[in-house]
Amino acid sequence: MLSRLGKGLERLLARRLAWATVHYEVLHPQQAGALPKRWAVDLVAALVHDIEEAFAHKQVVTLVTADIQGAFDSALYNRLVLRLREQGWPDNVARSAAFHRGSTVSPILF
Amino acid sequence: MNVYRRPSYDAALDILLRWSPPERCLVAGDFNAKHYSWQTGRLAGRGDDIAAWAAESGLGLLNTADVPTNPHGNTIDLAFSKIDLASAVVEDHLATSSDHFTLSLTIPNVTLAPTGTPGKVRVTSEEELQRFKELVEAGVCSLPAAATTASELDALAESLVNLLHSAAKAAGRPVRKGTRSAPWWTDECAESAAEYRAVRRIFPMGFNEEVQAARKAFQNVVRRTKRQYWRKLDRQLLGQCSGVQSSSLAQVTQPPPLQIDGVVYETQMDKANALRRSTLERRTAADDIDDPWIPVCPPRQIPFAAGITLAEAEDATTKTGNTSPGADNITIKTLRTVWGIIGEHVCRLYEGCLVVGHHPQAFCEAEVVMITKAGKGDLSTPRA
Repeated sequence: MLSRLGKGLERLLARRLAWATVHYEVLHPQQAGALPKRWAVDLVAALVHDIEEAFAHKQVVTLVTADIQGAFDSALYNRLVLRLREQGWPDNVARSAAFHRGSTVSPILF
Repeated sequence: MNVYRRPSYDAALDILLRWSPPERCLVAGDFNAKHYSWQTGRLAGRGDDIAAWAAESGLGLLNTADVPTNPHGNTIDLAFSKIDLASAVVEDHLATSSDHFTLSLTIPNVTLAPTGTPGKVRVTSEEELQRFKELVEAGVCSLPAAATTASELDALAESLVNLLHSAAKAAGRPVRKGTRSAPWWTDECAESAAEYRAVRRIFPMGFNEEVQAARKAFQNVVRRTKRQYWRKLDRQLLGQCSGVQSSSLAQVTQPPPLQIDGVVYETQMDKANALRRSTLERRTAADDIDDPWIPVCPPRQIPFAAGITLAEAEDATTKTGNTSPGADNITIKTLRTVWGIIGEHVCRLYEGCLVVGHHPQAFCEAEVVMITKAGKGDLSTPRA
């Protein structure tokens, strides 16, 4: 429930980051959270495919799931800035994006 | 400064006219005087002296011209101020024992409480939105022009938020919080009340027959629904002799005190701080690295345009599925109304923020509300 204008800025940044992320293939092709034209269902489809292929080869499938509690909230500012710079984002973008951890941009940052 | 000018007796007025009012002041009272700047028609009761004094002292008239302040159709209860965005509204439904109407004055407290406790206001009706738009238009020229350094961006963001907030406050109605309508109040009552208000609007002076008939009709509806409500409740209570169930009187859920590691937090501020400590600060600054600006050699530079078009800013700000108001209580709808006025300022603010990599202080205020989830037993634990 941040100020309306603040939310606008955040959303603008999130949209741009998301677009650039997909366009320049910054993230793993199988990361889907909060990205345009990607969907968790895609991942399910990929998973089902893997499972069925394993079964077709008469193999056994083991699935490991993990859930990180409060993942976005506990990101550390400086580490995040450095990580973003290593990915090739301009310095000003790294600085403002790291400001917005814990918001709409965070799934992308993660 | 409260003023009363007795008709044809000028001692008090003379004192007032010799006085030069300070910056933040409000002069209001019954002047028993007419001037064309507040009432069309002839001059009366030294209206020209008062108008000249106000103009010389830089005082603005808060009244809307030709809106009467007494049942004879005269505008003689006046309010003047130098404070931007101060406003006066004649509230003819607030009947006091006076033979004049109630003049309701609103003064924005921009410098003393910049973004402090934002009182909840609602700007919804056509007239309110129109007034809101006018006020924003009047204030937009005072927004700072510079938007390149972090502190300039902070100042611009704060002025924008303050402008919208004080305009909304002056144009809108306060939201009644913590109160609920009487249990017997029905849609029929609301409709009848609206009808009565409509009749009152047609005859603003009025204590005529039609107004009286409308009032009577409204009172009858209220009486009847009240009677029905209590009778029904009586019957229900008599019906269930085995014990009274209080289910019909729904209770608003109050967030319980918060409990972390055996310490109980009760006030909102304590709760917010404790929540942050226990859920967010599980890692300390010691876990962070010292300098994120060491040289790096990324595989490639990701291009990122610095400019922001007006359309992009508008899209991000006013077009979204989420219509809940922010902490500043500005809803999407109110923001859309004034986008034509503030759009370019918001755009250059965003652009500056992006170029510098800065997030303005004024945007950092947030509100935490407890939302109960089904199946979470103990509401006083932080992760519930």
